[in-house]
Amino acid sequence: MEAPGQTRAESRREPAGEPPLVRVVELWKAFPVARSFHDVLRQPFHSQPVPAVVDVSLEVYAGEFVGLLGPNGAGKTTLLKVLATLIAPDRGSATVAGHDVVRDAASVRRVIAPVLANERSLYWRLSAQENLELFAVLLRLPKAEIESRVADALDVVGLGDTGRKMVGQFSAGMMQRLLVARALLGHPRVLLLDEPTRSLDPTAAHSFRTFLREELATRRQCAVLIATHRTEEAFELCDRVVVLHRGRVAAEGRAATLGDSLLGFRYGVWTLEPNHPALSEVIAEGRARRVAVRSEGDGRWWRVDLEIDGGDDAAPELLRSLVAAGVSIARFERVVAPLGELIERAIGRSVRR
Amino acid sequence: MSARAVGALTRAAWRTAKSYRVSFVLSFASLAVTIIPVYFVATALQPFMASVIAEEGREYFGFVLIGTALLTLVATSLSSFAAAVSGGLSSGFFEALLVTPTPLSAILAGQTGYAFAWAVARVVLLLGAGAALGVDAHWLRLPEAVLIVFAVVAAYAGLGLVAAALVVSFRTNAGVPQGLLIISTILGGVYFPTAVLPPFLSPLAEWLPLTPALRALRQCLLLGYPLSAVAADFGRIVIAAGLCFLGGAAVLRWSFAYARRAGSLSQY
Repeated sequence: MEAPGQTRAESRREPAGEPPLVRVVELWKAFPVARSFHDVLRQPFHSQPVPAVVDVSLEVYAGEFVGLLGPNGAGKTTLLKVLATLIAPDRGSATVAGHDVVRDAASVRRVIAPVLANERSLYWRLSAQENLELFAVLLRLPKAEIESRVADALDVVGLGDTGRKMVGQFSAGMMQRLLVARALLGHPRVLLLDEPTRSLDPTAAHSFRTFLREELATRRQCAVLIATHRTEEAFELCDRVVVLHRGRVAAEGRAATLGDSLLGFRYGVWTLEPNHPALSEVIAEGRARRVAVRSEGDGRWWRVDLEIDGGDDAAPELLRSLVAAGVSIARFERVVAPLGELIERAIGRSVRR
Repeated sequence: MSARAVGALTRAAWRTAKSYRVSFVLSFASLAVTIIPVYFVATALQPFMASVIAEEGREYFGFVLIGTALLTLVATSLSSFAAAVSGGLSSGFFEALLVTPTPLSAILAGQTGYAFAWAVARVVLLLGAGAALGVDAHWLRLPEAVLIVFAVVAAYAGLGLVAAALVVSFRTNAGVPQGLLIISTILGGVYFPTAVLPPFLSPLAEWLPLTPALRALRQCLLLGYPLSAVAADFGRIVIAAGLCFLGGAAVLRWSFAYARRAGSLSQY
């Protein structure tokens, strides 16, 4: 499914002739609902499964970052777990590097690296290095390479100096980095990340995103599927996002393009006079719509969010007319729509369809 | 099965255990403290028990020592798989292991390797303490004893795998390891010979793998019988081991397939 005004080829990197590393075709998965003891006694054989993934199709290519967005229970984690061979699909197919996740699960596990588990999946009483050495063996790395691969993985995530420290003494962010280091040990071709920055502070999350982009997608040419609730990840990290709602694909495309098509071209105007007549006039003329007004900084300045028809083509003229009318403007820039709003609109549109 | 993976997981558990230094040292010390009262009680009961245990040994202390040692291994075989799976599922560690190329059999063996190694260490300590206290044993029959122990551990490990399968499928072992351990302790002849059981319980006792195993083990180690002299009991244990272990492995494999379909493999 493409975003309006966008072709499939525009919305993704599609290396000529190279098959996708991840291919999901019309995938379905439903789970049985936990029933009360009374219900089981009354209707022992009546089971009403709840769909978690419904008819989902998607492809991810080498070097591509694809974000899975959606509210809780949308099916993001289930989809990742199907690809990680932890959940068997009911219908449809999923292949990773050409291997079927059901029929050839062992081969899939050799090329994927899921970061789904939480920090408790580490040995807290062992050092970071010992944790990685253990997984290097489980990933069947040659004995002679283990030491250097562990050192490399620790360096890559910025834990080179703390490799001998016990994991129990790590911060949540360091543990998250160690989980990623663990995933990188085997030089995977496909990474499955479930909210990888949820335990990180904003600064750490930013450097972590930079690392993910440069190391995984650019240098290692991994295909990365990432479930996230963070606006920055969807807009800065992902080449493409897939919005899921109740297990179905509600929208797909570049996050910024989806934002433009679903939320309009949104600009922030920093002004001292949010109710200036010139502003009201452009809104009355239908050249822009006021989306939000909020106080900024010391309380004197206001940010007025406008949706401007025509986007970047029309914005300069509108700005000129506001300045000419005497509106004091300190800043005027494109703003990223909040992810929650984007998801809501995408879901709303898919429901109406 | 990947021996490297089993070794690595066992080493990790060992390093974790020894990082709790006080608890680690105390667990050895408590074992030494336990055996001494057993020695005095058994010596005191010797005049009353001598004729009752005659078929399996001459000294009641040796009789109880062998029973306790084998029960240690049986308890580990019954409970360690379910405990490893339960702990691993609730922490998310099992999920991290299952997405590696290491086969399930190696993961389970590695996750329980330390528990078995620790149980063997305790048995060695128990037997060492028994030897130091003068137990009258035929130590040259140790190779036969090892075969018997290996077979009975395999039989109970099979039942332990069924308990682990219950954890994977239903998140509870339904008290199977505890129930089997209590029944085996009471009816298997750990502290007293099965001959003293009420007649209606004797046939039931003979169905437990522990009963013939203990009888054969004591006859080898305490009376010096060769394996050929205990062939009937040994044969029964080997059959039980084959049936229980293969059956348990099949049930466990089915439970993992079921959990993958139900989506419960990675729910904490």
